[in-house]
Amino acid sequence: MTGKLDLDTRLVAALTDTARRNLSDGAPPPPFRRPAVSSKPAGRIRSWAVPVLAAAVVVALTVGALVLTRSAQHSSRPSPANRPTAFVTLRATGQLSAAEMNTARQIISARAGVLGASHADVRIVGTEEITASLPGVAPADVGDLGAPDALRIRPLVINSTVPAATPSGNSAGPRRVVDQWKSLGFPPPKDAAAYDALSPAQQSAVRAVLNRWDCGNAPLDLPGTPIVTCDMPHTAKFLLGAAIVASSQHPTATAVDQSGIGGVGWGVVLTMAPAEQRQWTSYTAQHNEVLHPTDTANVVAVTVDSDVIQASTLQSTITGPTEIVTGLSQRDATRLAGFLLNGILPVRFNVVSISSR
Amino acid sequence: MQVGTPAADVGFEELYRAQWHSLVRVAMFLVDDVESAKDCVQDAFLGLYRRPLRDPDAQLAYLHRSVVNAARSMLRRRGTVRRHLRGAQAHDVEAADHPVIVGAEHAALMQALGQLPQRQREVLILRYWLGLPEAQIAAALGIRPGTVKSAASRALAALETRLGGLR
Repeated sequence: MTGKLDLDTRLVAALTDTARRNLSDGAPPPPFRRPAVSSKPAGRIRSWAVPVLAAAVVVALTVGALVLTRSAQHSSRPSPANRPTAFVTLRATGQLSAAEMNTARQIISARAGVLGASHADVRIVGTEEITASLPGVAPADVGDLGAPDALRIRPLVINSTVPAATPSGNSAGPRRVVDQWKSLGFPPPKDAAAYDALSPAQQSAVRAVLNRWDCGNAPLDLPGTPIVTCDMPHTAKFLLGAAIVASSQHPTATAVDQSGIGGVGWGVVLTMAPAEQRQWTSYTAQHNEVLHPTDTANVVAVTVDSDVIQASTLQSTITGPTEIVTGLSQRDATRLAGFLLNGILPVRFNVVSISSR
Repeated sequence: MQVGTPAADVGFEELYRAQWHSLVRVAMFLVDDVESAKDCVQDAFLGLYRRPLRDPDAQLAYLHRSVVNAARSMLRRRGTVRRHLRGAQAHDVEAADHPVIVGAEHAALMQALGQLPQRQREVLILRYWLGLPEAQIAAALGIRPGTVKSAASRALAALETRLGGLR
């Protein structure tokens, strides 16, 4: 019996990993090719009134596979009698108090709702595990349920990305956390200006860290310290400065259909808490293309759990809600917004088993 | 939603966008080629477009069945032997154009999966990837629920044997 359960889990893991490698979930499907052309009456144009976007123009778009593991069930759900049910066991990667475990349980319950589970049963088991039974959710759609989903916005430090080496293949297992600056010998540059002020030897040392970095590891991600990190599909590496915004409170995140306003796919718009909004507005007021064209500091990267989901160039001051990512499918945008809305897990939870019945 | 889309098409577009990824992945595991997988799914949706069904359950069941059938036809055209990894022995069979990439860690399992008889492979994909219950797998494959159960256990047993020494 135990052997069979292991095989279930391994099978799902192998299928998930293979799917991820071969079909990114980031882009919307190609337009459906109809068999015949017929004239259609003018239909409704959906309009979307977005408050003060003054949004960034996307540059070096590396959205890719953000939500490969974060897709959700969508409409056209089968009737209750025929729906799949995913059973997931999660284990905390750090020590949590009873209160923290309770918070984690609530967040995971809320996420279960975002995934489309009806009457999800989420329980704490012992001191470090949480089990979730998710009616209406297929195992393949559970994805990275236990990821913290911490959102940061960081400025670019060096205005070029470095291609990442071919991944080692360990994309399914937990990633090793590495303190990237331990051997540097001097404080790493918090922004582009700080980097420019370094001596050539120091700049060289910093670039060495960037070049050596293996995307399969996870950076020790502290808001006040720069990090080397990668985009979701692990194709490019970035050196990013200290966080401009490090969301510790629950922002309001909304999934937005871009097509009504001339965009592509769906996006996520973030409304920050007042203190964070002030910092963000202040930064964008000092660094944008109107003020200092082609300044490296105008380029910012949005990261979720250290992975870059979008890099954009600030066009002007942003005084209100911000579109943090675009070009997603409706399913992925809805899922990301839903997860961001429901809070950050205190530590990462790893999926130790997942099965369906 | 595009400008000028009739109401009936809106539901279809939603279904298409909602199910496309899931179905392409199913097809991908069956035909081992991403582009062919997309073709299978396009065909399945085309069939549904021509003969619309209202009930969401029926729509999904139709799509699953169509994708499986399209995959089977494609494999028949391509020959019975399938390649799983780059550099595998070429048999007297037309190779996939865009072979599915498999990570080193999962290579053994994916290869063993690929060597299973067609029906067993289909059952495992529908069960472990889509998470479908027995009744829906049976409907999609055109077999009895009892046959689903026995195919699944034989498939898992075969995988265990091939992989050997599971912890």
